[in-house]
Amino acid sequence: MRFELGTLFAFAIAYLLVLFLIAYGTERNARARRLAAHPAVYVLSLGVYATTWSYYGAVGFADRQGLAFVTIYLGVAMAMALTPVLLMPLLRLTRHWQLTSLADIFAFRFNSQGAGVLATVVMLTGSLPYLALQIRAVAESTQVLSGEASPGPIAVGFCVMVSVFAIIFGARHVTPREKHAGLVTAIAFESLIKLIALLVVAVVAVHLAFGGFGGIQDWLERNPERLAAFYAPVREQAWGGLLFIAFGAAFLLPRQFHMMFTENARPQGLITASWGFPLYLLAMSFAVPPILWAGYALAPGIIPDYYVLAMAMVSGSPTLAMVAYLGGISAASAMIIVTTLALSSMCLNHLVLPVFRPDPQRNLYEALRWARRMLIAAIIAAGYLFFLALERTEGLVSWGLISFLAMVQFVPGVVGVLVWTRATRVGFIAGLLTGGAIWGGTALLPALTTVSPVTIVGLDIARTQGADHFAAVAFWSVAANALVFAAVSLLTRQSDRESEAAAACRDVSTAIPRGALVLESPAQFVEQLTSVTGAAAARAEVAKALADQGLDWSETRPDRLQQLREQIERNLSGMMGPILARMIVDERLRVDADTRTALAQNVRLIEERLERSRNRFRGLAAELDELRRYHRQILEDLPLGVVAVTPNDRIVRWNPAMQSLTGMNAARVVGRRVSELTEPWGGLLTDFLAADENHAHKRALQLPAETRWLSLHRAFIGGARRGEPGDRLLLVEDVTELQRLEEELTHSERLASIGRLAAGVAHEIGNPVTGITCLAQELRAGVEADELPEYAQDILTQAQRINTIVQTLVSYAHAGHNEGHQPVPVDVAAAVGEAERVVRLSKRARLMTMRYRLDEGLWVRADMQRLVQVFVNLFNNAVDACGEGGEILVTGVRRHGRVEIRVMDNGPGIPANIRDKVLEPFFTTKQPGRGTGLGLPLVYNIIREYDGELRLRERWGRRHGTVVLIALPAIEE
Amino acid sequence: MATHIDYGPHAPSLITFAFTLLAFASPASDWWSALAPPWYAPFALWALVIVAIRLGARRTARHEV
Repeated sequence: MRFELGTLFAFAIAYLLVLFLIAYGTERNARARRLAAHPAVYVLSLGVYATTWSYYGAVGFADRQGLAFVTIYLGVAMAMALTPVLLMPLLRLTRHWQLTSLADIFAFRFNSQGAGVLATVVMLTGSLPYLALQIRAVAESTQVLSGEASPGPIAVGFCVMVSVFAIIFGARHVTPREKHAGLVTAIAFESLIKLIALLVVAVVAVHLAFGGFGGIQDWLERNPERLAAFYAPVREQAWGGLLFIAFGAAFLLPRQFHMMFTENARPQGLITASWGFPLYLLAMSFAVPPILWAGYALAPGIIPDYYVLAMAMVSGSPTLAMVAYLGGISAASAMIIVTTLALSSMCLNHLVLPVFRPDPQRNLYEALRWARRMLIAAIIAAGYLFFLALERTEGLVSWGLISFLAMVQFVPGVVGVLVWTRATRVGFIAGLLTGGAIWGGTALLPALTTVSPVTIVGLDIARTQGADHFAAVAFWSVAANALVFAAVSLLTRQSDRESEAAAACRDVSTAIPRGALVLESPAQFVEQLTSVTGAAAARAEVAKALADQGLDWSETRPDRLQQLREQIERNLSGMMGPILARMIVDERLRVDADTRTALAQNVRLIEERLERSRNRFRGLAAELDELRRYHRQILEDLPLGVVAVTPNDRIVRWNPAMQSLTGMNAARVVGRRVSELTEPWGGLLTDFLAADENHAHKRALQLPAETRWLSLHRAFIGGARRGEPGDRLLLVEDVTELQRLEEELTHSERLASIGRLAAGVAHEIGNPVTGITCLAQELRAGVEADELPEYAQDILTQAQRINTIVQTLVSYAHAGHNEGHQPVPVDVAAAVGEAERVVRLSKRARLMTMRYRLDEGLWVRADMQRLVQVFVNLFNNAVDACGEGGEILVTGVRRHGRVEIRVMDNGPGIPANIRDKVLEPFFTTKQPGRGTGLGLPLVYNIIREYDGELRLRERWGRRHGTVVLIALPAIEE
Repeated sequence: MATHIDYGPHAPSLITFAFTLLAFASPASDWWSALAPPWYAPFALWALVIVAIRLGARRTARHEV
């Protein structure tokens, strides 16, 4: 069976056009994009690992190395088994810091452009033989089917097609945050096609050769030497070495890294891939032995590397042959496309941009996009040149193993990144140079020339390019690499930046931003970045970073702006590489390192880091974190508002109680100055922070809808260093309900007093009424005309007396409605006098003797009516206690900044056993109906409200009597 | 009362890796290959490894994602 070259070419082009359509449709259609985000698509896209080496070369490899062919997949399974400890940390690192390649990771970790450049060069050099392998496989498979002698035009045509595809669908976005959904779907489709093609060929081959899968075992029993040859390599030296090579290649190959980490849309996908990807490879490799043995049985007269095509041709079905051919095209094109995308990104970040800075006058994104496109074309062209230059006597697998060997040179570096914070830049470069040199001398150069450098010095260790050779090279090169890496790292020191990056890579970073950002708004960020990226890109990048952080253009909080700066650095890192991004940010978004920032200002940042790392804490660290959470929860769940304020008046904690009290949530408030809070909160807290007193009781706060009463308390948190100003903690207690209850209580007590006064009032009013009645009777009887004015005056006097009584009562009764009254200077003597007038309305009180010895100018800050209430209650108690002939003495002096008022009576006194109880509500010694038990508690609360004290004592030197001592802060008149 | 011991999210992963090493990269692989089992036996062993990874992946998902 033979195909025309043009037919094969047409089918290959048609197939690649289908890929175009799939990628294009996915990019354009929302439903297709959702489908592309499915973990199954991600798993299949990782199938890019299976190239023409797996598709064609694996059969040839199994022919030469038996079951050892499976190591190339088993090593991957071993790497995927380590997903939580190896791949997830790498994924976290790449996602958080937006690192697009292994070279980015090394440049970031070692804070070195040199490390990035070296990694890129090794990666590029190591990948070119693999690209050449794909071109060769396509060319040779076309030769097999067409019988044409020269594969050159086919190879060129194929290279052009995949270049166009990669340029169109792989370089659409310049930042890793935007995934190439179309590309991923197309690659997943390719993986599916090559798997189906291989399995179909295997089924057909087995039926042709053995009549079914049951026949394989029968054939092997008849040919036991085949089974023995199949298992023999397991016991050879190469087995372990190949497993190790595949283990490293599973995630270090540029295409694997790109699909696994850079194009990963969701971390969940990687967890699914940890078992799904090995399952895919198991299915691929399961088809290989049957095809090999079917080839032995059918003897198609072709080398085992192309038994897949040969079996299809033997079947006599042109359709199957074409499916098998397109499976190979799938494998090759997917590998070339993804590898060149990954390499182009690396080359752009580490080889091009450090030399050619983008022109700020041009569109940055377009410039980067075009640079990547040109690099893609250049890399594929270089792969073609390698295809022309490489020795073609070796099997397909040899070229692949050369690439795999290059990639495992990064294993020590990756271990250093993930585990060893002591590793240094110099150590990494020295190790990689050592391993790279051994690889170049013993693997790459012998493939490029028939005379290796080692042969020249008389030792032909590169005699053959077999599996044993590559396994040995893997061991020695990686061992030397690791040894030099470790030794040089131990002999050299890290820079501060390197140490910080090392901690960040392990996600144990404790570094907090040092210094203060010079810029004060996102608009200033744009101004500064414009000179580097151009105005449009600067604005777009700041807008993106603001959106990432959930901030807006009005943001001025220093810690948020610091976060914005870090986000911009990460975003730029995704586009230009970590080193250039860091340089731009350091140069343009400057930090004043001399300005110290308080630890508390970074509390949120530290807490976010701890939250991210929570699942990884073990042992004591986990317990400490639990303790931290417990303490934080105490603050969060407190029914009091908690506000922590730094020495420069920035808010660093704002608990939920404070949120519900103010209606301002923590995200909006934390980081702002206290004075920036909306009124009346800003004024209230600012005034209290500036006040001398650490406590303020029952401050009235006028809110738009109501008045609330708050008690405020302030505490100082010690500074980190001696003499350093610490933060301040404010506790805000909402006592509005308590205030309302007290007001109701006061009013009730007042009404009760009025009830008790009622009889006295009636009597008081009765006398003038009697007088007026008598005068009226005399007027009716007739009086002299000249006496009329005198009568009228007497009536008016008596009426005035009634009016005074009524006004006093009304005034007292209405005094309870004093909501919103602020304390004002009150003359104590006036309050005592007013209270006496009220009490004197009672008949029994009129029989009491009241004396005052109040110094002049005793002023306190209080509400007049409430203070009157205090004395009314005390006098009423004294009247009730003393009975007829009782005596009340009120003294007042000013002492040590306080006004001390003593209300003394000569009653029986308060028994010692109940003295502590009389201040409790509803406790009374009076007869039922005579007292509510609320008088003294109310007095106590009012006095406490004005920062005063109230004490009860026996009268000094007397057998009877009570002294009520009231002390209130004195003020000047 | 039974005490729940949390071995962390990495334990299944490390155990699976150790099992894979034992099965495929130790003298145990010399032993089973010398027995010349049916040709699909290594693939069955490999499938067992995948099942173990799948079981561990649930735990990983709970902790990591």
